[in-house]
Amino acid sequence: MFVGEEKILKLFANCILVKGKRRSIICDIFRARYQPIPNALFFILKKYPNYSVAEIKDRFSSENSDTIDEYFNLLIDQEYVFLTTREEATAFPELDLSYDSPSTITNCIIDIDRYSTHDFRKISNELSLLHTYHIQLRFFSEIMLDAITQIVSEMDKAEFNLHLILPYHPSYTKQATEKLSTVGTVSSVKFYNTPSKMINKYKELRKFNIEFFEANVANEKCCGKIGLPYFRMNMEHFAESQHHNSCLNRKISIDKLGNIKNCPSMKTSYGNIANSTLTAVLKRKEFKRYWNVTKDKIKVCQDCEFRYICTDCRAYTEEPSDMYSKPLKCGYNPYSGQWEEWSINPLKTKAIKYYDF
Amino acid sequence: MMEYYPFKKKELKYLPINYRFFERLKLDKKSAVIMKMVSADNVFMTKEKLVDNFYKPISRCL
Repeated sequence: MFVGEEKILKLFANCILVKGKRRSIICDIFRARYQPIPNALFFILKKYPNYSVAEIKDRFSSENSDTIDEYFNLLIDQEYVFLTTREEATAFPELDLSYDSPSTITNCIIDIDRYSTHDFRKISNELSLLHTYHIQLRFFSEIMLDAITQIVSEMDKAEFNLHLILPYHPSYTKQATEKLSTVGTVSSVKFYNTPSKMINKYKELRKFNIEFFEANVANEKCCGKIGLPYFRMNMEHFAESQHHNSCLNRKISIDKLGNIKNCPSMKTSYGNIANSTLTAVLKRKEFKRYWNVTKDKIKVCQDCEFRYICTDCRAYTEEPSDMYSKPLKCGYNPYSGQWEEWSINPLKTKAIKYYDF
Repeated sequence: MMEYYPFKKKELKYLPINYRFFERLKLDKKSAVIMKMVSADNVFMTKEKLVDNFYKPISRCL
């Protein structure tokens, strides 16, 4: 027997159902979490949104009653749903998931190696005109902290959030590293290629948004990973994913040679920053061809329950010639509900060879 | 809208991540119920956390 059977069971507006082929999830976009549920429960919650618990149970045979109780108790305990009266039930409108942004470009990747000759002041002025907030600088070669400080000072716009990714070097002291996060508009610093013993030593720097990783980021080919650590369960991402590509929408990139691209990992270049402008590139219709490729249009992803909280990749796909093919570096199978290591999947061998991983 | 703003003063030092949500609802007295229900502590995030929690990963190489 379920307490409050006469009451209406309602999902909180921020807890949104997403159906997958094998199972579904309730995605809580305020608390940044999700709950996998069986498709049968998805069906109940979707089909009977304004029914009382008793009315829902009446629609199923009595042998299902305990199971329904168990499901509902779990959702109440976890605060995905609440009970309300029939009179109040209509007072809870659904969330508006339309998406827009004041920024023409919301985020930008700039790759840098020892041969790069980017004019950071020029790039910075252009990105400012486009109202870009988040800029990631990825360094593929060792660089002295003074040189980074110089680059950051050339990109000193109040509205920017600079995110740095650079290789660890033993000469970086704890104090100098900590200082780096306070320079200009630096928001986060991530060091790769860090010896494991140093990761623990510098753990406390996480409070300054400084993190150390063992993994190597040798070049742009290291990008495009898809998995649980990259899931984002927030309203902006969820809303944007409904209408646009969750990686490339309003993104612009400059690769290490200065080529302007959707993403540094992609082949197509729309000009070089040395003799072209970001604004001119944005006027080209073909630059935006991926912006509206939603997960609902992508093969396999369209059947996945995680499609609005993961981040897509159009640079590396299972079928390189098909712009609607599943991301290569995703190891999730929505038809079995299982994760596996993508790089050893025999079905991906051809694409792995094509991209020369 | 502020008329229905249910948060305590001490919480205002944090930026409510769902502020836009409230704004979008064009609140009336009835929907103010929702605000009470979602005003749990973890709805709030410090400014630092917000930066870290950029709404989509810029790249995914680490």
